[in-house]
Amino acid sequence: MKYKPVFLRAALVAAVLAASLLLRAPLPAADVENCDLCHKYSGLGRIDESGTKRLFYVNQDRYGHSAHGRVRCKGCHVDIEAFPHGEVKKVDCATECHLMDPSVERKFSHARMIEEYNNSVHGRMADGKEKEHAEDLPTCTYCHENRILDPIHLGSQLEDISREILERCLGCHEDEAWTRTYFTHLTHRIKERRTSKDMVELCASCHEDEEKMKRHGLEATGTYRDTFHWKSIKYGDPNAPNCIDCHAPVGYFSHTIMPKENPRSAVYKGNLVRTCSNPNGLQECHPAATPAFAQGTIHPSGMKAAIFDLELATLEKQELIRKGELKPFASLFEEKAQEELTPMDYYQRLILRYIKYFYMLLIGGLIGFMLFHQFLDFLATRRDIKGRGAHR
Amino acid sequence: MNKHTPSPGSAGSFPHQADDTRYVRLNRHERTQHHIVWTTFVVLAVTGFMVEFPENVLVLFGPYRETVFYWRGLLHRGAAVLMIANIFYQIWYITLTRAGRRYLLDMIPALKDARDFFHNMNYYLGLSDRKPLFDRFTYKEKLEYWTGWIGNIIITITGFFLWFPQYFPKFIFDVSILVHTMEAILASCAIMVWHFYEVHLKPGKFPMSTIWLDGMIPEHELEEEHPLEYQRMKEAERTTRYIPDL
Repeated sequence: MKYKPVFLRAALVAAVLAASLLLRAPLPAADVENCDLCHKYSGLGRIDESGTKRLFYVNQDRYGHSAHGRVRCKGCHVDIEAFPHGEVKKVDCATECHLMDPSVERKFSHARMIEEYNNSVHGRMADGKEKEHAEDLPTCTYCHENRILDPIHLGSQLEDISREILERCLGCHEDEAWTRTYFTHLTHRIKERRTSKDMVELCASCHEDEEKMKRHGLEATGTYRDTFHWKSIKYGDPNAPNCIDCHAPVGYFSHTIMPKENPRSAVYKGNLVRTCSNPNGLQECHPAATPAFAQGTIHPSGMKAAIFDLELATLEKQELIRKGELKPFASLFEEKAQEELTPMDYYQRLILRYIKYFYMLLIGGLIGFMLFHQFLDFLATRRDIKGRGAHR
Repeated sequence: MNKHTPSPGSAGSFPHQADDTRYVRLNRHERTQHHIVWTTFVVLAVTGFMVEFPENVLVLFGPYRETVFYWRGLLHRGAAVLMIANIFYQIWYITLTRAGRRYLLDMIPALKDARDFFHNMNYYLGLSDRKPLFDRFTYKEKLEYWTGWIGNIIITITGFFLWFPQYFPKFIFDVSILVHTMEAILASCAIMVWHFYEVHLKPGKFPMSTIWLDGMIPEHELEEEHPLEYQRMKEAERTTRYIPDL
């Protein structure tokens, strides 16, 4: 009887394992090219000329369940002709693969999407030539990992529902692996691919980098995390807006994000009211939004309640002061504009800045005075009590 | 030294228990107002600063994060409404009741407070042997009362803008979020340093002064801390019976 909990636990683990085996579909694509011969070894890798560690191991099981699970290796790695092969070119996502696009009966390719993307603010080309610092700009794989198609979680209610729907598909489509792939292909687009938090982290990985943003004449989003939008996301509120919800809301597309001066941008001046009210979204965010409400910058750098500069910015200033290029205290009153500001924006920021300094002084001064006063009071009261004790 | 020289701390933590004579320091209205203020203040401070928690702290809430967030907002606004209602209660009290008007008049800062402050500083530094003769409210209490009013009004107005942001220009929202946060930091620090020391940590007061519970101050404490008020009360006792206006 003493071992009962262990048995129970073992039985539970076994049951979960068995369930997961049952729910896992068989491998969709057989490895007809036999790449698995070498790439199945988990230690397969080397250190290349630039000193980067590279791993060439491919977990066939996971790959089989990924978004590209039905694409053969050579579908993307088109230049491999010999075995064993040498250095391989980087994969071009615009490659036409062997799959047919059933909507037009042509070979499928991401080229259309890439073309649109290239015209967006994140694209590398502008006016026919490569942008400055194009190496900073995100490529397909910066945001898209070859996602494991697992839109339904083991044990959740959705699992049963999706199983039931899948059964219906299988009524006509014989190949279960194929059916499952297309089923997940559709269903994983219904829910958000990333949690709001992951989305923010992804965008912030570049947009919070002050140096990188400076190179492109942009302001780092220093204070998104000061907004209530982020605070709700932090607590897991599913309706709280992440970057995409305002920069590519309903009617816009994340691959065609435009600079804010472009009328096709969701944060273009004329589109802001609509973006804030979000009338066609799953929920209306600020339905009563007015032009006065929907104006200005939402997350400018160095504003709001962030009492101190980011550490990096402070170190930078310290270095400038040491070199004599910046006078001590001067930076407190200078608005470092990295973007063109309208006079209204400029003065609004100035006012905010002065309010911030006023409160910093007030808190420091008043609380400092109070601490000092109460400390003196403490000493005096103790002295008083002691003195009285001696008299008695 | 006169015969009423008090001996704080001589009767344990709650010195008034040894004394029979006690005077009213806070009447029923004032105590109720204080109770509303302190409960709402604690709720507002906790639920307010919760949005500033770093992510790695939020992990502690586990799967209840979202629920916690929902109740946090609800409690914050609920407590805010109660605190605002209390402002109107206080306004009614200090204008339309006799005791309230007396309270307000006694609370008005005067030149004596500045003199008291310098005198008190001299006493702290050992340059003067005697404490200043404080009246019903010392300069410390006046500072706390009036900064409390100012802070309360500022935080109410900015909080209102934060509650209904879409009806106002965004600049007002930006100012409000900054001022609301800073004011909250200021108020919380001030309460902890100024008020908690005065009524909890001060030698002779620890663990706490019980005036906020029953409103009564022991005779020796009144005489030591508010000698002018004590004299006035004695005077009133001699001429008429002192009846607190409740």
